[in-house]
Amino acid sequence: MKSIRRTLMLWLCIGLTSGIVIAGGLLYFQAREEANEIFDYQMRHLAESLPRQAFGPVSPGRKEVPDMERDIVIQMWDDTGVRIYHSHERIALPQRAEFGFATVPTRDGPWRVYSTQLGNTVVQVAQPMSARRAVATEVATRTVAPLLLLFPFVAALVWLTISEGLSPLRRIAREVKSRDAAALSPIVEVGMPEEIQPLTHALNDLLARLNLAIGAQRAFIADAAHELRTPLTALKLQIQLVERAGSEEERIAALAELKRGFDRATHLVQQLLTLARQEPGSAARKRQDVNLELLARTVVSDLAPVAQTRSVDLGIASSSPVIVEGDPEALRIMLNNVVENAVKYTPAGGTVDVCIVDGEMPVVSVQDSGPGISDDQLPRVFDRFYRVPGTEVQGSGLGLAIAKEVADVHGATISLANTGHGLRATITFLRPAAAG
Amino acid sequence: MRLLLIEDDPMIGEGVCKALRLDGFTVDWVRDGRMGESALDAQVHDLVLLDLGLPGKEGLDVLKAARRKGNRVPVLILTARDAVPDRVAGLNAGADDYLIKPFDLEELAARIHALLRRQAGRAEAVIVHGALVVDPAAHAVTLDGKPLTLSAREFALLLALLERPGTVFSISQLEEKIYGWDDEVGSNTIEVYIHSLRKKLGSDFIKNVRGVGYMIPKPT
Repeated sequence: MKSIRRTLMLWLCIGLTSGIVIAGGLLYFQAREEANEIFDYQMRHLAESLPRQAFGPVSPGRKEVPDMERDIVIQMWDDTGVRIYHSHERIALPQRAEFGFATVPTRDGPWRVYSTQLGNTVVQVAQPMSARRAVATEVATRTVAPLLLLFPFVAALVWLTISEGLSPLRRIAREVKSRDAAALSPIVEVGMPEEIQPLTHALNDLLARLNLAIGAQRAFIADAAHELRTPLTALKLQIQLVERAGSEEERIAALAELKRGFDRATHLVQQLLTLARQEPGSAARKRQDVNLELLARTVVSDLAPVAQTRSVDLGIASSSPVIVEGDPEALRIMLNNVVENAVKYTPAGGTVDVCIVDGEMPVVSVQDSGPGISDDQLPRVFDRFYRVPGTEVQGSGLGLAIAKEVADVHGATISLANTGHGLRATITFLRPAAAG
Repeated sequence: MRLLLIEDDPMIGEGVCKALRLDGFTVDWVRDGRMGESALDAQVHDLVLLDLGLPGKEGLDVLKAARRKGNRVPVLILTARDAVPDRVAGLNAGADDYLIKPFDLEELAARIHALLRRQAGRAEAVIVHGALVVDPAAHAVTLDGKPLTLSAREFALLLALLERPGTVFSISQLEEKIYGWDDEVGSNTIEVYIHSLRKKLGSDFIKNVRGVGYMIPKPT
């Protein structure tokens, strides 16, 4: 799992280490530069302090290999080119060099050589470069070592700071964890670092939206419970009336009433289920191409018997083949509810016309010749369980709510308007129709 | 006894009306709050059965308005709202009792009788008047311990007169008590019922005050 603390620590270590390494490197080069200057100065002084007169050859001071760290090798020649002095026997240096400083490669690594003419003698003072590097390395190491010792302390400090910095996150986690599903109050933002506030803002925003959604759900369940009681009350009354029936005719009449009550309760339960299925987030629906013309034909023929018994002339007035994308069953329920409403609220002898128009956007309209709905009631007819006051027609108050839910899910709009000669329901699909 | 039912649901309204009429009550049924309000203003009912979720005007508002006008008719709320705050709100608005849907017809009748009894200031379930014992809930009448058979209208008329013994009720007052709005009232029907009641209870039981109406005298 990704950890902010580990990532931070990793990069901090990398940063610190490279910082120390770079600092050490710079120190080393600087120290070598200075060592060069100092040793060059020393070598020149040493050369110049040697005797100016030629003397007979002297055996070397030391027979061993020079200490590469400390020793300075001296060689002297007289004016005939005979080496009259050399400090270390087993050293191989070029016998002659130009006067002044030069860096000479040997089999023991590069040497710094200073040659000069003193009277009759030529003097050569030499030192291995490795000695100078050793000094520079030592200087650099001495300076950097304490930094390395500091390393664990810095790391511990950073570790603690990160822990402290992340503690609000742990607090939020604890708080959210200890909540039950019903506690949707916002997380307290007082004292939250500004880096964490976007998270708490987003969380609180989500909580607020959840609260609203749950509130709406609760209200719906309360409404549904209330609405279910009404047909159940009727059923109970009707059953008791059957029990009390005094004669066979009364009993038959009471049973017929009971059957009506049962149909009504069944219808309400079915509508509630349909509504629940249309809710966003319910079982995934299959999207496919739906031919609105075919759909309208199906709905109209389904409702034709109802229209006939009510002496309402139901038909498709105009249509063109229009394809929309959607769930065919849901769209059928939507159109069915709208057309059924039109048929139910149109007085005998009236007409209900279904039109499908393929314009810029596909439109299905259902025009009835009924009394319409007063304008102040229009905005409420899509509310769940809302029934226009004084409505004689039996219904659950869910038909249009379901239609609206389906329309919303399909990105369509549904509206009702009084046209002067009845009510017109218009369903407009916002998505452009596919070629069909 | 004449009841007013204010209920918007046609199935429930029909069922309650039928059942209560079988129990011998006269029932007037209105389907929205505004009509309920004007029916209450007529002050001819002995008890009101009130639904809360009404079109036109909310049941509780109808009740509050009636109580503000000084109407003291017993009100029994019939509703599907069963939450305690709803019940408290109903009782605080001036209801006398609260019955949750769905309910039993027996319980409804029992509560109606209890409220009517309380309204009449009686604690007993039966009305005793001399040798006459009337059980409104059981619809039973006995005279000297012997059961009498009365028709629904006769029973209603007897109860109306027994409500306030010693008070003279005019014919139209009695008609208001035993007929609903939908009932056809024939001429002289009250006299016809008085006549048959006298036959069953004894001719002196109901007194006629000429030009005013009828009364049952206070028991001596």
